[in-house]
Amino acid sequence: MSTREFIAGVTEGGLHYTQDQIISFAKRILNKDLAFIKDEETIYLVKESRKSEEWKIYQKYVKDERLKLLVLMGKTLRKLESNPEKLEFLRLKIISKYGTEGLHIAQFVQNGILIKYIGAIVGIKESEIDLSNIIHEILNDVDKFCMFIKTADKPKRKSEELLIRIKAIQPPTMILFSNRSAVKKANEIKSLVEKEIIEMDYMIESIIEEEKDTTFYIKK
Amino acid sequence: MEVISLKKVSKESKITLLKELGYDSDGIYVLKDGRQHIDEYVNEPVKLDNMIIVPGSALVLDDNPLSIATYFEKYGELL
Repeated sequence: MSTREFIAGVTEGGLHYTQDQIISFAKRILNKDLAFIKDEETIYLVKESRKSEEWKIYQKYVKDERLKLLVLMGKTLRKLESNPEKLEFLRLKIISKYGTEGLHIAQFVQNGILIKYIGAIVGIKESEIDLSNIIHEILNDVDKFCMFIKTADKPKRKSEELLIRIKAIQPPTMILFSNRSAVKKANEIKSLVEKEIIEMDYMIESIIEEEKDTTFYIKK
Repeated sequence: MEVISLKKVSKESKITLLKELGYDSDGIYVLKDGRQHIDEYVNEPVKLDNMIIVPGSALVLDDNPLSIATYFEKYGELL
C-alpha cells in the first residue's frame, strides 16, 4: 500500500491523517525513508543550479563551504531574474544569513562576473591552487576588488577612485562592472584610466555581452 | 526516499506530525521547546505554512533555495 493510499480522508483544510499514520510517517522520516516538502519547485530550482557545467567549474576552485553556498545562490538568483518576487525573497534570505556582504558575493556570480573571471585568468595563473587562492581572495572581498558602475556615477570621479584603489592595494585583479545604461559611463571611465593602468603593469580584458560590460584589470 | 507535498495536508495533521517529531506549533510558527524554531541555514523562524520536513539533524526547515542548498551540501541530494 502506498503512502497516498494511507490517507484516511480529505477535510476542507486538506488531507487528514490518523494518529497511527502520523506515527508511521515520523518513524520513516527518522529512518531517512520519507520527507515532506512544500512543492517541487524550490527543490528543482536548487537541483538545476547544482547540475550545470558552470557549477562544476566553481566546485573545482571554490573550496570554502560558505563561499560555495553563496556562489550556488548567485546561480540561483540568476535563474530567478524573471520572477522579481522570488528573486527578492531569496535576496532577503541571503542577507538574513550572510549579510549584505554575502549578497554581494552572490550577485557577483549572478552577474556572470566570476565565470568570466575564471575564463580570463585560467591560462594565466600557473596552478589550480594559485587560481583557487585568488578566487577566494576576491570573493571574500568583492566590494574591494569589484566596482559596480551606476548610471548616475561621474566618470572622472570614478576613474580617480579606481586608480587610487589600484595604487593603494595593488590587487591581483580589479574588476569594473556595468550593465544597461551604465555601460556608457563605464566606457568613459575605462578610457580615462587605460594608459595609467597599463603603466602599472596590468593587462586589460573586457567582455561585453547582453548589455553587460565586465572589464578585468589583471596584474601581470 | 518517498516525498510527500505538505500543500494538501491539513493544519491539524501537520501539527500532529510536528509533535511526533518533538516540535509543536502555535498555528503560525513551528515551535521547539516552547520557542519559535529557527532554521539555522537562514537564521529565521519557520512558519507552519512554509516548512519542509527532511531527514537529518535539522529536520524542520524553511522552504527556500538557501536552506535546501545548504541541506544538499550537508547530506547530498536526498530529496
